Amino acid sequence: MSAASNRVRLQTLVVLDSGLELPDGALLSPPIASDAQPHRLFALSADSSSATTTKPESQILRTTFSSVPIVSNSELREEYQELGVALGELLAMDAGDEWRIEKPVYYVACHVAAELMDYQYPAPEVFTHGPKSVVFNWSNESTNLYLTVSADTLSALISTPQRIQRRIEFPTKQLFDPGLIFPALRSAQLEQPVVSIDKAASDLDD
Amino acid sequence: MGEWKVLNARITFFTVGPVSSSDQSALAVYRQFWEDDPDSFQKEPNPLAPSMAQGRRGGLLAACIVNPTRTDLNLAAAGTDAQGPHPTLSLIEDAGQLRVELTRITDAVGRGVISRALNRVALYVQFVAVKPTLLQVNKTLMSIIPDGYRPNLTDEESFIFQINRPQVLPDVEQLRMNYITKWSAESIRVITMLLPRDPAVRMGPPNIGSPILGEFLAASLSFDINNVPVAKPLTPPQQSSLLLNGLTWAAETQRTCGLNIEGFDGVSRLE
Repeated sequence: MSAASNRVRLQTLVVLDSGLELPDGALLSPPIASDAQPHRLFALSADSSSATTTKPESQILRTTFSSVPIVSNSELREEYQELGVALGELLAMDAGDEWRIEKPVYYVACHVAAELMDYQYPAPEVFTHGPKSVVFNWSNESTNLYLTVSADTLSALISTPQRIQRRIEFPTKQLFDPGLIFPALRSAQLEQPVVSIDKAASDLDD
Repeated sequence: MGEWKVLNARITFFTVGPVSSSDQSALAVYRQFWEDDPDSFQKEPNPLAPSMAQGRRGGLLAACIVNPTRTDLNLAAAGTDAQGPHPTLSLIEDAGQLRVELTRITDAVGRGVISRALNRVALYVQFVAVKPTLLQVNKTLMSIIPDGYRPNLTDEESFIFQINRPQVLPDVEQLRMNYITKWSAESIRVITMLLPRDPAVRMGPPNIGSPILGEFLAASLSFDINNVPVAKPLTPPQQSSLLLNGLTWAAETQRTCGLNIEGFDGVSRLE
């Protein structure tokens, strides 16, 4: 099973359409005497006749699609993985290091980052602000959004180079209802309504 | 219809609020539900990446994947070495065992096994009937789609039809539940890698990781039952009640659609 997801991504493997020719060197394996006969079966290397000393390991590709997704979340997830590594490094720094953050701040910051990822925010830059908070930063043309995350408060500051436009504060207990906070922050930064679509299905996004 | 089998099932918990300790890994959650160590465990490489624990439960393969905002318990068929070198699609043969396992998980949820706050729970079950051609897949799908929705298919590919019939549960604080049914033609690809039985045996070319790709066409009927996210975290009895409601609905609906999966009917609480 994939280490990065509980769904194997089709993009990592060869995808063949029904009309496509077999890849070079591929062999058509002999038919299988089984009720669940595969529609097509072929080997991807020159020789696969090594059954006596080998055991099979199989992996199922759960989903397959003909259309290509317009937007893939894989890049967003990769950026947030880097953010997660950075937060872990800030926690692991030596006690006297000015960049070190305290554990309660770390847990809240990680949770906020996870929710930001779920709400499709671009991954922010992260700055330290002493051991009791971290700052997530996004720049949008002429405005900046600074989200200061501490153990018990989220503080959002939206500013231009000339002035502070808006300041919003939330207690962290409101993280139990993330549907209110994160679209509101996005709307405040962009100064326009933000469309938020509730997904009825429970499967993971591609 | 003996041709229909369960491909996989999943129970999902959507967590809210920051964690208060590091003891929320897949290893800890696996042990809480199955009271045993997994066969394999992968720790999260960073706090925003998932951790995963996996083990066999009789004929089932149980996997626990913990993401920052959701935890999934997946159940699928446990393959065997006896399947041979050619790719086979492993399906859950004993749907009764699956029903028992899902019910047991639901009961454990009701006892408060999940320590984090949840605002949503979900149950997913997928049934498939493997067919040799797309024509037969589509014919099978048309035979189980209710009269009012049934299209006239021939050899069209990638057929998907999904509906949601949400309901409010008056006995669970008026929570709104989604009841999603999806009929689809699936192309399931299985990759088989040939590995040496003896780990000390070194495989040389041309046998290194000789992957063999098998493709299976299947008619698929899947259910996704979940509640609309709520502002106030669900209590353990509410979580259990919602999941059991989903199990009961799934068992009844697969029977209504004509699948009649032996053993999956008659969901009931464990004694």
